[in-house]
This record gives sequence, C-alpha cells and structure tokens, in this order.
Amino acid sequence: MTKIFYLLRSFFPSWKFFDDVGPEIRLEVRCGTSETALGDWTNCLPPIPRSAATLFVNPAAAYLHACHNHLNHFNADIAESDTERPELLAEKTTYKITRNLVQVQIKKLKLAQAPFTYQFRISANYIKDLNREADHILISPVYENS
Amino acid sequence: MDAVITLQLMARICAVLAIIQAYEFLCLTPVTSDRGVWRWDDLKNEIAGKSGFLRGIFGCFLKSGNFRYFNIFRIMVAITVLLMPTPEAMALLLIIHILTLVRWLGSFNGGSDYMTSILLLFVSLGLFFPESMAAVALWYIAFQSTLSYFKAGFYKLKAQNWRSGTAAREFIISPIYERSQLLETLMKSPVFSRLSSWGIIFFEITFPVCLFHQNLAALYLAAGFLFHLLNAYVFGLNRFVFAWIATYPALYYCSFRS
Repeated sequence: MTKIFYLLRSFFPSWKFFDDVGPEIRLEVRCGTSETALGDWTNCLPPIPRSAATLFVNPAAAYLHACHNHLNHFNADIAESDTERPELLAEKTTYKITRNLVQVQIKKLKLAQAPFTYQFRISANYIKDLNREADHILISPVYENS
Repeated sequence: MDAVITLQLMARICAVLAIIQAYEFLCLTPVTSDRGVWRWDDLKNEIAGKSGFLRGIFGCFLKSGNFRYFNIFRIMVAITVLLMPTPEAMALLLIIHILTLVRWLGSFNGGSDYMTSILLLFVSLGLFFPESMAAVALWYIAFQSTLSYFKAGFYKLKAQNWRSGTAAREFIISPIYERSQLLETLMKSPVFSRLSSWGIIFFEITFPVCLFHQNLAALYLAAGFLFHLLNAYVFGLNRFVFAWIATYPALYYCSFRS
C-alpha cells in the first residue's frame, strides 16, 4: 500500500521548497587496511558543483541531489527503527543503498585501494548553530571490501 | 492561443525535459549498475516484493543492465514527441516516467519529478480528448504551477528566518554546495540577504496575479525563467528549469481567458 502511496504522492505534491533550514544529514566514512588502522572521518559526498555551464544539464548535481535525498530517507528509517534490534535496520533497502554509496564513493574519491576496511556514520550537522556539536545518529560496524 | 496548440507546445518542452533526464541517467549508468549505488538486487524486493511475475515485468525495464536501454528508448520516444506531439507518444512518455519513478522508489529529484508527472498526465489527457479536456488540462496545470510558487512563498513568509534574510544566507552558503566567493560576499551583507529574501517571497506569493492579465503573465514568466536559471546555478536544480517552463504556456493561455 505504501508503495502505491509514494507513486500517488507524485501527483499531489506539497510544494514546500527551502522553507526550513534543518540540520545537514552528513555521511562520513573512515577507511584503512584493517580494523585497527582506520583513518580520520571524511565527508563521503563532495559539494554539489556550481557552474554556469551546467544550467540545463548537470548529471553530477543530479547524482549528489539523489544521494542527499537518499540520506534523508535513510535518516527517517533510522528514526523509525527499533533501537533494541539494530540488525533489522541493516536489512532495510535504505541501509543497503547507503553501504553501496559508501563503497562507490571510497573508490570514486580514491580514499582507499581494495582490499580495504571501512566504517561509516550518519550525523546531523547544525548549519544554524555552528557552535553546536554534530549529532552522530548512526555508526556502522566495520566492514571489509575485497 | 488555441488550447491544442498550447498543449502541443508543452508536450515538446516535456520532450526536451525527458531527453535531459534520460541523458543524465545514461551518464549515471555506473551508479545504477550491479556494482553501483542503486543496484537492482537491492531494489527489487522493495519494488516488486516476493512476486516473481512483478520482478520479471519490472526487471525487463529497470534491471541494472536494461535501465540503460530503457533510457535510450526514452530519448527515442521524446524525439518522436518533439517531431509529432501525439497523445499516444505522450502517454508512452508518461508510462516511462512512472516506471522511472518506481526505480527510484518514488522520486529521483523531488519537485521536478512531481511537476513532470502532472505535466505528462494532463497534457496526455488534453491531447487525447481535445474537445472536453484540453482547456481543463491547461487550467489544472496552470493551477498547480501557480500553487507551487504561492505555497513556497507562503511558507517562507511565515518563517521568521526567511523574513530576516538569514534562511536565504544559510541555504546558499550551506556546505552541501560548492563554495562561491561571489555568493558568500553578497550574502554576508545583511541588506542584500534581506532584500533578496523579500524579493523571492514577493515574487512567489504574488505569482497568482499573472493569471489576471497577459502583460502581467509575460512579466512574471520572464522573471520566473530567470529565477529558475538562478536556482540551477546556485543549487544545481537544473531539472526544475524545463519542468516549470513547460507549465508556462498553460499560464499564458489562462491569462488570456481570465
């Protein structure tokens, strides 16, 4: 039923754009050769490029917007998840996509060379209040990528 | 302006939008592949559940390898619409668009996907039933387009940080976007950020007046075009440009009849 709903929503939009400056949901990653040799946390997604040459066609921005939209959906799934059973969250499609995204970005940004070990975290960063520390919403287990 | 000619013009703009969207998806083939981000193996359960039949049907179009050919087909259909904006070709573009939304679990690019859905559905209906539906379709699209600006402006007007100019500054200098020295310098000025905020609020909230007179419509549509170009530059929202411009012929048509 929810699947039909998300398609129907497309025909009845809320038309709310940029109405509230919420926290920035950030995907960060650290990687290394082993679990004990993980590096510093790094932002997994580069900034959305700005260029007058890409006013009409901008696949890089389309990709990054899709990634940020996905992170917001994942954040909603985390909020709804059962904190006592974290293994259920790992079975969700949004979790699997996030893990794929991390692996793709590690290779794209050349953060490590295969085989590598990595861990990711989702954090809320407060743009309105720069003095406020980021909230780490989720920290993943350490994974290996062969 | 004749209703059917207006719909045909809108169909052609939708076709340009479809070509851009499909081309961007083709550029993103690596991230929709089996080693990418949005892998069919992960998505198929969410989309088709356990049904082998549904998985087979959706997989034909949306499976990682097939999605590439699906987008090439989308470009071919869009070129057909550009040359001959028939209702059948428009309906096919609508079906392709809906299948694309299914692959992205409802939406890839938020607002632009929603406006594209409304456009493709109502332009198709208007072209299929020109006698009874053409004018209704144009008025409905004009209504949705007007509502999109008005509601966006209304929520901004209600927000104190938009009225003070801080929200515009925070959005524009957000670390999500590439740094721009020019934008940062401009937005550091409280006068500029407040003026630009009120400019956006005024434009959006007064947008419905464009329906009252064709001269006002011409003025607002020109301003709207610039507004979307600016958004494309500042926020990388290029897909919104053609999605909203495709509604403009409907707004112009309605401004003559109100």
